[in-house]
Amino acid sequence: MDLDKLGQQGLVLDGIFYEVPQLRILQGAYLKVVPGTICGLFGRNGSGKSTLLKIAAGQFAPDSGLTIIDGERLHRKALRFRFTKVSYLPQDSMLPGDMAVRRLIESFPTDSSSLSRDPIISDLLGKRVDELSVGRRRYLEIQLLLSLERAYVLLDEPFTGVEPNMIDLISERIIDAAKRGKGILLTDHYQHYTLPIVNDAYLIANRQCRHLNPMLDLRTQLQEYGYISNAWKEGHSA
Amino acid sequence: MVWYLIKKHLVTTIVVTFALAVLPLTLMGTSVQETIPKAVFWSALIAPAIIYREFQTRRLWPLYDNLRLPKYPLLGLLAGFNVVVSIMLWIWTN
Repeated sequence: MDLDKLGQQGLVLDGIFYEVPQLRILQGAYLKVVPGTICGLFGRNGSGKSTLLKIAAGQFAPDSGLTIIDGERLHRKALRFRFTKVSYLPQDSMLPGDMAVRRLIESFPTDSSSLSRDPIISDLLGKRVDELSVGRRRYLEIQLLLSLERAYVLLDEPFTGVEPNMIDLISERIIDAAKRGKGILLTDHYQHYTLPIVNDAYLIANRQCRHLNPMLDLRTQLQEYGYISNAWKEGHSA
Repeated sequence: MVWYLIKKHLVTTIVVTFALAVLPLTLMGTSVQETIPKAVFWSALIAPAIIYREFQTRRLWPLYDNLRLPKYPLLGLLAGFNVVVSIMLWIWTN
């Protein structure tokens, strides 16, 4: 492969500034997601994690800054073009509750038979979306998104409100997707579930992204920055 | 998901058309031939706005983005469909 192109591979958010009246949320945030990896985005409530994901997904337009995917600048491109490269899981469910699961799967431009063979999804086929539990609904959403042929997947709090067993299953699917070459950008407050699966991580603090050193222990670095308290770890290891 | 949008649009159009037609028909005594095409025409503006708002509230638009279905052109097409139907009704009833 062309070495120049190889160097450009990745989803890059560069110099992102975003503010709403009376509040600056991001000031020059930079982040890069490499294909085949899972990148964790950490930060306190209101720090701008979801905002940054929405900017990457074209849901919000930044005041300035660039979204670059595999060397291509997207700021003047239509949303439709952006979604040839990314898929996006918002924090709240995006599935219509009054739709049958089977119909929903069939409406995706993917091999619906392979999705229907999934042991969890096969049990849901006869149901409507609003009959599903939070965990199964989230699992279905994530499986549908991962089945799309997109190079990058943006996941905003995929584990929130989901039972531990289902989180483990979702984590497995995310890891499999990364092994198949997808770049995953993941943000979730359940760091005891996210930290073991991420290869790379950023922490949003003071309206900017700090790149954590992937060669060092991520948990320790998050503790040093005050995102995780030491008491939590000591309490759980006791 | 396009069929889901069309289904919602048809239901909303029927409700809006009925709401717009019922007042002139019952209180002002205008004819059905005159009222229905006008009600369908105005539903072309109102129904897509209601659907846009409803889907925004239910946070369904990101699903359409993921499927690369452009929401504004789709809503525009549905509004155009109502306009065409209202013109055909007007021609048919006059």
